Amino acid sequence: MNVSSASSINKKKKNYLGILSGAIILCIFIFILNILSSQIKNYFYLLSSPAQKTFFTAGESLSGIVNPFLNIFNLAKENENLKKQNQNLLFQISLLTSDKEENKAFFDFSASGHDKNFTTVMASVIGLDGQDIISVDKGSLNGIFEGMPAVNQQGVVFGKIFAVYKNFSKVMLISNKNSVIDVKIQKNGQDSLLSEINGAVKGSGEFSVFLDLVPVDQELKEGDILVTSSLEKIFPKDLLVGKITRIEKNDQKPFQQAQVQPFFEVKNADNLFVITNYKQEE
Amino acid sequence: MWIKPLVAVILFYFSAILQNSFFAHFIFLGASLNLIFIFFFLFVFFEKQGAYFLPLFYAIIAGFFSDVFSPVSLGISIVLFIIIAFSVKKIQSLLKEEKDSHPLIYFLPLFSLSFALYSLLFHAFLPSFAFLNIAQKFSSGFIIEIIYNLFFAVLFFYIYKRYIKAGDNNRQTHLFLNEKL
Repeated sequence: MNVSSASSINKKKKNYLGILSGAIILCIFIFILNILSSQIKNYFYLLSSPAQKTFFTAGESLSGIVNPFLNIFNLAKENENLKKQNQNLLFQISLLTSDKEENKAFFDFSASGHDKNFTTVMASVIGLDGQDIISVDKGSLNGIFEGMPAVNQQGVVFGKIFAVYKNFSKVMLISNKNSVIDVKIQKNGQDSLLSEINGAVKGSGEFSVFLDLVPVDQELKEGDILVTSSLEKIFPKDLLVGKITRIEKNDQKPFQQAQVQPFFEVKNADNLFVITNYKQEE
Repeated sequence: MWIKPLVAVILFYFSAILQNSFFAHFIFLGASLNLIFIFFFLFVFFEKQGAYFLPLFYAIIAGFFSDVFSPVSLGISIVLFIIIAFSVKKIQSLLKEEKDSHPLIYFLPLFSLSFALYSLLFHAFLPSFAFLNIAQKFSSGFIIEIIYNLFFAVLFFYIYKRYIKAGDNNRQTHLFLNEKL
């Protein structure tokens, strides 16, 4: 009886020792992995990027076919064209307003390279990493660093670079829960005059954002356009952010909030432009 | 013997690529597909009782690829997958042995619970300091995400059972008969 109980205790001890040594080995393994994290991730990116890009494009094409079919009457292509056209027009309004207000130079992010104020690096979107983070195929070798803004051809803000590897980078979208950007509100239907209302657009995940920190005495309207204000010194001003869809006002609170439909669309984003030389005017 | 782990490694790798590229366009009501988790869970679930080495291997490989293609530090998913793998095998050993050793009735709740646990804990390590967002994760389409992944998991469950598990059983029967002869 004593012998069997002693052997049972020994067995238990051995089990605990086994688990403990396994856990220690695992910790060391994870520690080493994290030391080499940057190299490992970059290596797998290099290995996988051709396949990843191919699958990303294939998914884009297939979703273009499947989604209109699911929505039955949704004419995807026409809608997409109209959205792009709309974004272009909104961008033009934003620029013209800016000119009128402050007599600043016109700028454009198009691939034709009209821009004289900013240097951009064009990067292809190669994947979506879960929570409102996308991967692009340019990294530190192309002059990209953390914190640089990423926009599309129409001047729509996507987000900022938050992780840079040798050959690729990750862009934290403005819809990421950790993202906050300063914006100003362009009033809808007021001869394109920019009001002085400022606020912050915060990410709420799953490609959605909301407007916050707007004083309750300021009047917001559905359809008001939000553009970057450059206060935080990361994004150049007057880049398109989104449109107010629903206002949530409570007089008991010092600030009002609003639901915002962001202008960026990951599904239609093949290429992004990373602004590499933006410096806040002193 | 070594074919299955090799297939698992390749499958996990391509699942990681696919879920970050192809399936990124098929986000349904905010819910995305976690192919690595589905295949990892299937491999663990169908592993024979008392076997802990292969589930550990699957957890390390699946966790590694999951972390490589996500913004978290390497190791988070490895640890979570190991916990899930051992818990699933332990729970399976406690469940009543049916005629069918891997019934769907066990698979459904085990998968749902494991997926929910993984999803919530993984969010806690995302760069958005999501400890505070776990509650938010519950409300924002979390159930839809579980159902979306469960749908594909059940689909692959039947494929696995029909072709791979059946193949394993046939081989074991042949071995048994050969030994008897």
